[in-house]
Amino acid sequence: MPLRLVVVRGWPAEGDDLMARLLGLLAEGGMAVEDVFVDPAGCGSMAEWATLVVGEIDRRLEPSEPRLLLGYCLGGHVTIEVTAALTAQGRPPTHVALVDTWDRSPAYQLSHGIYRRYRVGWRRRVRHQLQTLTRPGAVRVAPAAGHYGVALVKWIPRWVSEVVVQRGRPRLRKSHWWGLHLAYDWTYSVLDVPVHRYNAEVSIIDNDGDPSMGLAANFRGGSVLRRIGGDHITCLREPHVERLAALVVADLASPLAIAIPMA
Amino acid sequence: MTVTLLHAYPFEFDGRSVMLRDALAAEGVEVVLAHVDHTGCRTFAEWADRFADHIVDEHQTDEPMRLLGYCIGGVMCVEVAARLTARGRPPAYVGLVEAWSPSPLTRLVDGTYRHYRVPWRNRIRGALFELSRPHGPRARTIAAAWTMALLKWPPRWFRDVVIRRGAPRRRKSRWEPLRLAWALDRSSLDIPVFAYHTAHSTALMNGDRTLGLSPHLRGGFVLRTVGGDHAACTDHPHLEDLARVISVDLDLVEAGRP
Repeated sequence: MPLRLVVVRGWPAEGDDLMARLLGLLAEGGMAVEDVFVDPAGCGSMAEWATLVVGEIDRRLEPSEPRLLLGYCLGGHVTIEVTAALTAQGRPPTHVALVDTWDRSPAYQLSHGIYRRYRVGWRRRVRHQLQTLTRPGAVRVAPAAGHYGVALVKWIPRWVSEVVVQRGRPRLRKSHWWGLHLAYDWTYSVLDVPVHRYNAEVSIIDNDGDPSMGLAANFRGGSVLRRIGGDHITCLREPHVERLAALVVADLASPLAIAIPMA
Repeated sequence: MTVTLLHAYPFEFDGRSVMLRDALAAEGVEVVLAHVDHTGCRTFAEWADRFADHIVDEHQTDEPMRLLGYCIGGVMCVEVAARLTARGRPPAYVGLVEAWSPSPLTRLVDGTYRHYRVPWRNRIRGALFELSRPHGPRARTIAAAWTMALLKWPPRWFRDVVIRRGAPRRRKSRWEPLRLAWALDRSSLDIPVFAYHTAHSTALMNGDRTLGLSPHLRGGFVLRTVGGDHAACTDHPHLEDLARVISVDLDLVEAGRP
């Protein structure tokens, strides 16, 4: 029986053909893929969403089967929380793979109106913004003050656009918006299990050149980082997706994968 | 295969690097010991610049650079690797043996800030870092720790300034490098790292297997748990196991992975 890789999605498969090629290539590589999506509607937090996903995985896999997880983008965020939930239950996943999953920098989230658009709680905003001053290589006080000035200037037209013109309606589909709301309004768990990461070169540049894309502090059990070609979207399209699939299959096949730092 | 072992203290004070060198030699790894005196350096960053210059000057072959450091030497290893990477010469291998970065709250409670005269700017940043890091302590825990530290301040001041007349409790040669290290605003590494930590130190760091280094290791890292505690891991009988694991990892890197 081939190993079953659970691909955790953040979006429903319908109307989202981005993952199809990767799933096809993984199947060609000898993997049996379980494509899992659970609608986050009604969930109050990422932890609740992850609990539902764990239940769905347990429904599809035998208890004796190893848990091999892969998530892309928002699916990667869900995968982090699923991993934390499984680890807390004393059955950590055997393999965790995150494809182009990030935690955008505080400066980015502020300047792009992420907090406002996804109605992020104020406690999260304040704690997150403190990272601007405190995380390694953080900007100093003067540039940070500049960020806040710019954000304040942008706030007025955004408020007019979102509250007056759109009357508070979110610009994304409700299901997509809710998933992103949960993701941005959440402090991700710290994982003590090894994680394999596949980050697109352009995404690393977009994340201020940080190869960990803002998640370094969350991984304490080892982290193998592989750079793949393309950007957030094109890394799942030809020609980059072939290399990505080959790396995932190779990492799953090798028990020493965690010992291979980079390719 | 040659590895440069960075040593922060003068060799006459600590023979551990020499023992590790000999154990690695038994595994077929040639070790070059590197030590640069900190005298005249006002900050750890200045000292690291000096170290990086020294290593570049000494490295006259086409062979890739490989760096290894134990304890404060590991802290130096991170700083030197960051500088070499910024100069376009990233090391092929970076090994950290029991290099740690205790949380700011631990430093406050342990009296490290006071003992090593850490600047107030670093102390305040540390408190803010605790508030901002994922699943860090609650604000009330941090406030309680600061309150306790303030309550302890008068008797400590009396003891350190009036009774001991400001004399440090450690030998100057050891105290000064540690003072520089504790005041360091640490760099982040964007290249892979191999970390060799003991289970004992992990337990001391509240189960954090990276010993507090994870926010700084942005390029990925591989963790190896070695036997003994912070001191014993570089002594017999754990030393041989440590050398063997390092040798295997060097072979992995050499074999084309990366």
